[in-house]
Amino acid sequence: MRRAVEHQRLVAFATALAKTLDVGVSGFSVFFGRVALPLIIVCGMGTVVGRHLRIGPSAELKELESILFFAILMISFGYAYLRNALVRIDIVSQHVPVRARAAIELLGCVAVVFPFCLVLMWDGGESAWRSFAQGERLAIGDWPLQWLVRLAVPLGALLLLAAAIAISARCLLLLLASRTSGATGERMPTPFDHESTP
Amino acid sequence: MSLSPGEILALAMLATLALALFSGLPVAIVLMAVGFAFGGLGIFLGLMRAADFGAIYFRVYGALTDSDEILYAAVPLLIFMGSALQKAGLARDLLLGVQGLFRRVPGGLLIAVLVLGTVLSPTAGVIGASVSAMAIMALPVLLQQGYRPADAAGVVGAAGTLGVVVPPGILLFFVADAIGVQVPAMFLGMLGPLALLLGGYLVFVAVFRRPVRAPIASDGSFSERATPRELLLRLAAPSLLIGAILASIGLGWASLSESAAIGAAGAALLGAAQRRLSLADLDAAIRQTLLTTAMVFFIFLGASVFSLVFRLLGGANLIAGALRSLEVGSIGVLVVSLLVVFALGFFFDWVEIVLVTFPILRPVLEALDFGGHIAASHLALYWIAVLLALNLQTSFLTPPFGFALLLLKGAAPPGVTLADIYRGAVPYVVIQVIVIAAVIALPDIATWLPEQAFDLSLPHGGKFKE
Repeated sequence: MRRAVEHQRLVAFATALAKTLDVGVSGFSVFFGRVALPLIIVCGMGTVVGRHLRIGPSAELKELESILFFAILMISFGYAYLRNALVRIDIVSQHVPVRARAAIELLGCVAVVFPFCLVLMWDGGESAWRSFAQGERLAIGDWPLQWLVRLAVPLGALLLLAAAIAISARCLLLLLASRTSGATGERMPTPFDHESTP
Repeated sequence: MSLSPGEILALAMLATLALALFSGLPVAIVLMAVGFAFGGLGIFLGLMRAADFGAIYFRVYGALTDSDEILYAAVPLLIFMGSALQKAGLARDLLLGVQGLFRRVPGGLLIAVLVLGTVLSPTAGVIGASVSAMAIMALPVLLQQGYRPADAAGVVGAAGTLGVVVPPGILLFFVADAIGVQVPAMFLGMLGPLALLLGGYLVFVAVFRRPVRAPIASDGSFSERATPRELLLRLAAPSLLIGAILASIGLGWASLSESAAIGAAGAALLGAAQRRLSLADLDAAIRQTLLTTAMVFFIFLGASVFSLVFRLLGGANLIAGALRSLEVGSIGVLVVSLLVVFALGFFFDWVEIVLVTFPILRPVLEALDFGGHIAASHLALYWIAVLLALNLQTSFLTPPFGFALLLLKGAAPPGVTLADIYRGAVPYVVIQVIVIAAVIALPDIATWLPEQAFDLSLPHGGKFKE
C-alpha cells in the first residue's frame, strides 16, 4: 500500500516536472524566435539597403544579425529536443519495444546530454563573467556588451538541460507505466512522438 | 601496417559510431556519447589530456560566431522562406501553374512535379522532409491522372531529392563550408550539372512516361480551367523570388545572408499581399524554422565533439594516409571517396555525412593533383564539392537502400509498393550516373560559371575544420 502511494507520488512529480519544463522551455524559445527571426530579416535587408544607398549603420546591423542568429540557435536546441525534431536513425529502433527505447533515451540524457550541458554552462558562464568583468566590447559599436553574446551559450545549455530533464521524466513515466499499467494518470507524449506544436 | 594505440582507438570509435547510430537516440547525442566515451578512454590510456575537453566550449562559440563572415545566418532565413512559401500555398500554385502550362505536353504533370521539386529547394532541409512533402502533394494527383504507380513514385522520388541539391538548398551550403569553397560560387557551380540533370529528367518523362489510362475524373481544378495568362501570373511571383535570390548572389549585389533575408521577407510579403499567409501561418513558419535550424546545428555540435576526439586520437590522419596509399591516381582516389560517400548515403541523411565525413576527407581531396584534367588547380575543390553533392543525391535515390525511397514508401498511398518505387527510381538513377560521369570527364560543367562570376583563386576557409 505504501509503495503504491510512493509510486503515485513519483508519477505525479515526474508528470508535473515534464509539463512545467516543456511549457517553460518551449514558451521561451518560441517567444525569442518570434522576436529575433524578424529582426534578423530586417538586419539583413537593412545591410543591403544601407550599403547600396550609403546610409545607415550597415556594419552594426551585420553584427547584430550575427549575434541574433547565434542567440536564436543556442536557444532553440532544447525546444527541438522536446518536439522530437532531432534526427534519429530509427530503422532498427522502431522495432524495439517502447520501454527499451525509453531506457536508452534516459541513459543518453543522463550520461551524455547532462554532462555536455554542464560543461557548456560552466565554461560558458565563466567566459561570460570574465567578459563582463573586463568590459569586453563588441567588434563594432564600441559597447561593452560582448558578455551578452557569450551568455547565449550557458543560457542555451541551461534550456537544453531543462529539455533533457523533461525528456528523462517522460522516459521514467513510460518505464513506470509499463510496470504498473493504469497508474500514470494523464497520458504524456513519449520522447518519440512527433508534435508540430508545443 | 602497424597501428598506434590512438589509431586503434580511432578505428574502434568509427565502428562504435556505426553501431550506436542505430540505437534510435538523436544522432547528435550519439556523436557526443561516442566522443565522450573514447575521449575518456584516451585520457585513461594517456593518449589525450583532460584539458582537451575544455576546447568544446571554444569550438561551439568560435564556429558559430564570426561576424566577419556570417554565412550561417542564411540558414534559418532560407528555411523560413521555404516554409512561408509552402504555408501561403505559393508552392501549390507552382505545381498547378506548371501542370496547366504543360497540360498538352506528354508527361505534363510529371514535368510539373519536377519543377516543383526544384523550386522547393529552400525547404529541403532534410531529405525526409522534401520527399515526404512531395509524396503527399503530388503522388495522389499523379495516380488519379492515370500514371502507373512505378512512374508516379519514380518522379516523386527524383523531384524530392532534386530539391536537396538545387541552390539555395542548405545541403549545398554545408557541403561548401565543409570542403572549404565559397558558398555563392558553389551555388553557381551546381547550375550546369543541374541543367543537364533536369534536361535529362524532362526528356525522359516527356518521351517515355505517359498515363496508362484515362484520369479518374476531371476535378475542375484551377489548372484545368485557367488561361495561360492566369497560369503565368500564378507562376510569376514565387519564380521571381527564387530567381532574384540567385541573381543577387551571382551579380554580387548581396551576400548570401543578405539575399536570404530578402527572400525571407519577399516570401512573407507575397503571402501577406495575396491574403494567404495568416498570422498563425507566419507563426508556424517561425516555429518550423527554429526546429529545422536547431536540428541541423545540433548535429554540428555533436560532430564537433566527435571530430575533436577522433582527430586527437590520430583518426583523421589514419584515414587520410589510407586513402593516399591507394595507388589509383588522383581520379581513382576521388572516385573511391565518392563511392564511400555514396555508400554512407544509403543509411544516413546528408547532415551527418557532410558534418562528420567531409572534414575527414577534405585534407585528402585538397592534396589531390588533377594536372591537366582541370583548367586551374584552385578550381579542383569546387569541382569536387559539386560532385560530392550530386553523388549524395544519387545515393538517396538508389535502390534498395536509398534513404529517399524508404521515406517515400512511408508517405505513399497503400497502392504503391516498395517494388513500384524501386522500378520507378532506376531510370532516374541512370540519368544521375550519366551526369556525374559527364561532370567527372568535363569539369568545366561545374567550374565555368562560378569562375566567370567570382575570383575563385582567393583562399576560402570553411569554419568547420580544425
